[in-house]
Amino acid sequence: MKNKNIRPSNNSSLFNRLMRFFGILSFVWILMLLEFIIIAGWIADINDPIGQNVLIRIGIGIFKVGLSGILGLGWLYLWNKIVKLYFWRNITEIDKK
Amino acid sequence: MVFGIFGDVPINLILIGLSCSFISLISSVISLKIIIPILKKRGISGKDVHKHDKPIVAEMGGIGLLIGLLPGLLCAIILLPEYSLFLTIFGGCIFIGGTIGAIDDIRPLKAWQKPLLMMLPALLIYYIMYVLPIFWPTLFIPVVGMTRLTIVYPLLIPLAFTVCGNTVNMMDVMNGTMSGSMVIGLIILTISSFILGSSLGLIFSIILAGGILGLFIWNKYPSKVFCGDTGALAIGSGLACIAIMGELEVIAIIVLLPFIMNAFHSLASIGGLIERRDIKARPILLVEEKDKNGQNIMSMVANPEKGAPLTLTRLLLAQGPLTEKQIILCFFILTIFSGILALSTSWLIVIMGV
Repeated sequence: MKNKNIRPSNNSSLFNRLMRFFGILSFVWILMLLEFIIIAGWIADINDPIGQNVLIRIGIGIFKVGLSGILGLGWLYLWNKIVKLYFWRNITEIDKK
Repeated sequence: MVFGIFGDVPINLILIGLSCSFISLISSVISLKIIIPILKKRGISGKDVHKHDKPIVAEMGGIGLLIGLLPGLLCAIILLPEYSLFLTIFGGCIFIGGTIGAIDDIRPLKAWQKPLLMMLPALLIYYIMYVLPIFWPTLFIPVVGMTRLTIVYPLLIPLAFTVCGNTVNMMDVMNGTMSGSMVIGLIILTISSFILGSSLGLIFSIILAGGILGLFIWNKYPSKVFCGDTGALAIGSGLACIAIMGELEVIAIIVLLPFIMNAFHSLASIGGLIERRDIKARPILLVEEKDKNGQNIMSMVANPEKGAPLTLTRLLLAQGPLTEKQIILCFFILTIFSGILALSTSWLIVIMGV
């Protein structure tokens, strides 16, 4: 299927190019699982120390969802940063050549 | 056979699913064979801009998928009466998504209208949740287990349809990229459903995979038909349904990592929802070159302009030009790789028990 007539401009093979994407996807996947471990291990265990007050319990519930949401947003932010870094570094390298 | 954490998947369900999938495949292929000349005759066609000779290709191939899915779904409803209502809801969601897509294909909707309309299939899920009520979705997260998001989760259902529809739609950039990647993704979801014991996930994924495979046969490089928004939004709706009703939310996210990568970085780079036609800087540039035999061929390079959307294609081209065939191959390999990650997650869930 590979068309041999057009060579990638910086001589990196298609496989090498894909390896970097495998790296990004694996990193994103591992980070996602790590976040789940943090949520399960720490955030989900946060409880009302008094154990009676409904308002405090609701507040803690909102805090848990909020904290998990922040972790999720952090995951997306990091993913975006890595991808941008990968793209602009490569574009600059090609431009220099 | 008790295997997955959600319960067991009976063998007869797998066999019926495979048969219905085959029926969907055959009917999709046949319906498209009939529809393509009609679409072309009626002028529902567009230029394939990535080819040197810019051939005219029929659009709205999704209609063939919708027609093709009908016999497969009907057979499943008859053969699996215990799942008939869920299958009807699944079919309904796909057809609502497809109809919104068809409206957009005929008379382009505004950038904010499409995501809003794509929330409509969620009404069918609400129907079985609140009116009947025979189904209550629970978010299953690996490591964490079942979550009790009784208020937040139902609110997120319409958003799931919108996100899935648009994410799938944004992946339909070259011949067969969306349909081919979705076939791979749905096969992975079928295997994951089997591993986890999600009967609904399995039957939905396998039938939809058959129908899309029929579409892919006509949509693959060089395309005889484009899926159009009809196909993309129908598939997106079906996918959201599989994730929600099959309790495969996180697995679906992992399978679709390349799709999400494409949509998320594009939107992040242009700062929100903008209709494809309204984006001024294109993500890629076409270059005409001559091959060894002196024939003209098209290759693609990443647009170095800052304002251009950071699509998956543009990312793939960051290290230099590629041909359309090479890019399509990259899309498939990336989906297979994310599928391996999804299967690993499924196994991890089974091993850990959550």
